[in-house]
Amino acid sequence: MDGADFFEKLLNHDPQAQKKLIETFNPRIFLYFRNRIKGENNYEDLVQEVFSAFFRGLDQGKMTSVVWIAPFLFGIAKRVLYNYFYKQRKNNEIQQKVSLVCEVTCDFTEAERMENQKLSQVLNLLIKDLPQIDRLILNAFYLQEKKITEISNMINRSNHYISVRKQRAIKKIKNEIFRKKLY
Amino acid sequence: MRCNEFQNLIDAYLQETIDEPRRENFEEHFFQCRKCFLGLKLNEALQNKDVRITLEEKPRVFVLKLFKPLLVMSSLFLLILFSVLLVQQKRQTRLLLEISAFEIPPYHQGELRSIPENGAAIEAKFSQAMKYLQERKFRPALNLLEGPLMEEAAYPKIEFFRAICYLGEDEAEKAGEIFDAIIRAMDPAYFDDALYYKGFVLLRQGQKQAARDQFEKLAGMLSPMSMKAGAMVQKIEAIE
Ligand SMILES: [Zn+2]
Repeated sequence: MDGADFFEKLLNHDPQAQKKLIETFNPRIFLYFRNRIKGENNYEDLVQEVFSAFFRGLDQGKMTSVVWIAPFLFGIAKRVLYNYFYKQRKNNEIQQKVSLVCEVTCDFTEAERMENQKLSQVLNLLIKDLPQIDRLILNAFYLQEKKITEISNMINRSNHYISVRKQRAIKKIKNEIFRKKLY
Repeated sequence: MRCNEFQNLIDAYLQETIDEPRRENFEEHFFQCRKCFLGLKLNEALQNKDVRITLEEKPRVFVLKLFKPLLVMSSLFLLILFSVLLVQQKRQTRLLLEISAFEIPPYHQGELRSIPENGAAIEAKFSQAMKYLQERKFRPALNLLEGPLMEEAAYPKIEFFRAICYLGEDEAEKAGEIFDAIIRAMDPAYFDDALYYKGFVLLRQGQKQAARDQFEKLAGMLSPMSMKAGAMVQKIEAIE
């Protein structure tokens, strides 16, 4: 499915295309809210609002091609966040649920949980394949929460060496995930 | 924001030490860029400690040397079994052998350079072995892959291609042993490939039903190899 084809299908409320769109952007929207709003553990309504505004906007012709999808969604997410923080959310505000504008029914939170679980599983498997030195660096940095400087002292290498190795290790995993089409 | 800059800001974003203008550019970028978003997700998962990072060296997958005499015996046994099969089911076996011709799997250059010691030398030897393999010169490729430097590296990729060499040399049993070990170790890099080529081992051993089941299992999995495996199921079913 190329971009134009995909966009055409979205315009025609094709459930497959809608599902693909949600699958692609649900994790990004979740991560955005997760990072922006601390101490909140239910993002379902916010994510729902983003998608419902997106599908409404699509019907109203606010996007003309596939390249506008990501910026448009980002714009909506920012607005929803703004509303969350600064405006009194009125209880009587009519929130159009995604189910009214989209053919696909979706539990966004559950989808996100599954996605994260799957990614952790893949990561667990791929990490075993890294050279020991890389695992040592990742372990020290992420699990033991050591600073780069501490790690570099620990294994007698420069800070630069540690940072580069750490980035490369993750890049290697990323490439492997793409190569094996795991994500 | 460029992908490079994005990569350098991931830690700052997750630790919330990034400044606001860059934070927004960063977010805008991951909405649009699939690759960078995956990098961010991986970092997030690591930071959340959702991942086990063990420091132990992976145990060598293979204990082939210990079992060599056993293997020779079982190969011999299989050879005899295979000859019996040939007599009994000449036609079907010929057809099975026909479809058990396999294509040489692709390989990816450069991965072995990250092995701490002798990475470049290992990669060079490996590349040479792959050249032989592309020309279906299995024995010289195998000699290289089982050479001194390579054996110590014990890298899954080397093991996998060793198995391919054995398959090419018609030493299906040996190939099968190696594939089984890769499958047991659930090595993600070669797991699907090992499942797929194990199917060819079974074909070469004349185990039609087992081979069919093997390919069918893979065809039902969410795997890049599933299409190819499905095609093999059909080929096998066509032999009656
Ligand atoms: Zn990018």
